[in-house]
Amino acid sequence: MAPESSYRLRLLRNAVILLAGLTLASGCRKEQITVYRVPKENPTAFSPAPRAETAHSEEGTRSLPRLRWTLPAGWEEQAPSGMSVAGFLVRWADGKRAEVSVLPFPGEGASDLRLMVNIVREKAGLQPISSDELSKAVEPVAIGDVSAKLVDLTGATAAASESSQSRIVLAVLPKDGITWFFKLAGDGAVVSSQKSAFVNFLKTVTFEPGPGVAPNAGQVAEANAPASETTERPARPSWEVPAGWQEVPGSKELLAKFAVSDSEGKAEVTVSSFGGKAGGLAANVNRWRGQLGLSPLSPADAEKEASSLDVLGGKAMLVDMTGEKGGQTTRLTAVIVPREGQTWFYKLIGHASVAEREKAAFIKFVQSVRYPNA
Amino acid sequence: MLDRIAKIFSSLRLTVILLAAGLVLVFVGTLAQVHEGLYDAQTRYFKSWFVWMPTIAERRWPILLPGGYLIGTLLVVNLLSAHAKRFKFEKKKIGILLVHGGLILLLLGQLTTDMLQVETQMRLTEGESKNYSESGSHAELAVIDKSNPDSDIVVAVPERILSKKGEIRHPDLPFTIRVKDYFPNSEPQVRPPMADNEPPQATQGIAGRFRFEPVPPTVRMDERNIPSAIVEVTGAKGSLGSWALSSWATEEALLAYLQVDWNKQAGEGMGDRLVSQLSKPQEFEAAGRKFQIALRPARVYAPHRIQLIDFRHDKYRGTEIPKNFSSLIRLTNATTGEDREVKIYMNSPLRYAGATYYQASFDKFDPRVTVLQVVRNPGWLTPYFACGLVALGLVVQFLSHLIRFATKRRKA
Repeated sequence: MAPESSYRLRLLRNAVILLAGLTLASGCRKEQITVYRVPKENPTAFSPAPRAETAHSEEGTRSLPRLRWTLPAGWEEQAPSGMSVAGFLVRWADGKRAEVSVLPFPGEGASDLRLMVNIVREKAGLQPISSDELSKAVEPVAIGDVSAKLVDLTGATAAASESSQSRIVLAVLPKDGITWFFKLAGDGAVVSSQKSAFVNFLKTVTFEPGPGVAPNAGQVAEANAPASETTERPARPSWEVPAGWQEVPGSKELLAKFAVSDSEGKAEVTVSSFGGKAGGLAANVNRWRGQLGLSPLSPADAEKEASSLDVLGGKAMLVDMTGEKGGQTTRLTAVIVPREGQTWFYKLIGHASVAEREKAAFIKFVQSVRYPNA
Repeated sequence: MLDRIAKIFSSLRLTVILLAAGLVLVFVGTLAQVHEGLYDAQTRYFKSWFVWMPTIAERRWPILLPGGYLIGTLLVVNLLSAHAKRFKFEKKKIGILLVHGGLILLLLGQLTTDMLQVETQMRLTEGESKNYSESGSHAELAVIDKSNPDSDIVVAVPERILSKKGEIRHPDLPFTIRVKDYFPNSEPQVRPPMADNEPPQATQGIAGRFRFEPVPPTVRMDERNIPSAIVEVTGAKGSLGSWALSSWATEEALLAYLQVDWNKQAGEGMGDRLVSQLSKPQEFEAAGRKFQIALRPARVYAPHRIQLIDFRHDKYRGTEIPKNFSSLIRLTNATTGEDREVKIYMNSPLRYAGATYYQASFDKFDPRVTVLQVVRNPGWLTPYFACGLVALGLVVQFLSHLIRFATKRRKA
């Protein structure tokens, strides 16, 4: 081979090697776990797009009416959770139970009963039902003095266990741009026994135009308010329980619940904790005012309602208000403790005289709290 | 032997065969995009060495086709070896040489672009600033150690590893992540309050309120796959719980879409509330450290920061036809001390630190949002040089012919 042609071959070989190297080097990118350090970001929570309705809704034109009812025997009132505005628990033998909840859905979009029923049926792996079939399953019911629809979804829900079929009875009432769902759900036997009590309960429900929390207007406060928080339960702090307080089981949102009662009436103390600011002081003050039938205050005035309280390791805010709930004079004393990105709520609520008598013990209790990682 | 190989590689016949194969590949690969989707078909037919079982006439045939990389590489080798074999410098052939040099540069440049180019997007709301851009097609499982006061340590697991399910361990993580389920494409569902008897997909975080249902992967151009995964975290003392992770919960564009959609379906205000619940960071503690876990679009970080000052989206008057978009941004770089404002608009991108920022899109639902396309392509200049070389070669070639012709005529 001539020296010139061997030089050319070498050139050619080098070019091929270069090409192969290039492709191999770049061919196996992005398939490994990588680790990198980045500067702390401001918590850029998703900021919703501004909506044209915002200004309109801030005026509170669609505020949620306040509900009043008569509690059937054996029903225990629960703290509202998730999207519900009221909740009740019925305990039965063998740990069986059923729950009643009241869920307002803003807008008429939720009033399509067939859609709602079919969502439930689909979840249970059942065929959707037609309008005809649905009309047969629907019975009229009175909610207060308004007529509404009641659907019994027996068999349309997956069995909680082999032996006990769960059952849902749902009453739906579209009213003033809000669709109200009254749901009785739980163990089949309990639901069957409580259905008539549920229907009677519905008759006692009245809607009062009130300053209650609007699902639309107060959406920011509501979305962050404790009632709708779904964070995991933080570790429970230690505390000294005052004499006469009795710990009782609470709903899953609560860290602890205590009951106090005497001949005049009863009161309860609840402890809960939520991530972040939990809606802020003003939103919570107005939420509580709403519960006591008091009109909401402007954010500035609401904050003036709070006084400062010394607790272990810092300052807390104390609010005290008296109003009316369930037809009796009710007093609410609450302490808000912001601490390491969490907000702790201590609430004493109940018959005015009992709550007044327990207030000192309540404050002492809050001041005795030692947090898990303090 | 070597001589024979060299002969084959330098033959004109190979050139013809390769060009014909390229023609077939482009034809088959283009039609296959209908069935396999744009992105997947491009990867399978053009960004590959071989194509096994190509789709022809709506059927998959058990044949092997040469892939785009193979044809391209062989063409370059063919061209190089032809020159290596027959190269002889002649003044007459300078033009031809330049044209071929340009072609080789074009082919090589395309190969490097294909292999090294990273295309991401940066979505900014007015006022917001970011030092990263996000992939439009790949997700990553990000486990973020939040326990340091001034910086976060991110362990990013590519979607490809996630899709194999199984267990993920890493020296920087004091726990094991078990991928219980992975859905390449999914749809979010609100767990309706009236059907709460069905167990949630995971024990912790947003799974209490939402479900992510697997749906068949899409191949359509106007749709994309949105992955979700169910993972369980196991520490030294046993399981810490399981989490439902989804791009639905982390990607701003998707959240904006859901907000509008849910507001429409469930009533004004409901969508806002649900979206704020869905986008809530999912956190847990392990070995005394605080971690956040998320499935999110794969991120590419840059040493500089870009803040959107103003986004303008002008339309022709009385129509919905966009006239122009422009984003006024502020570019800051802590290492160089740079701090300046730049206006990015159509055909006027920002080129900075090896990346090009193009004005790409906007958000249908939020007028404050701009979307910039961020292209990192180390070979971005090669097509310009290549085309320049080819043009120069052609000019030289024609001119030399013209001059020769003119001088011949004068002599005659």
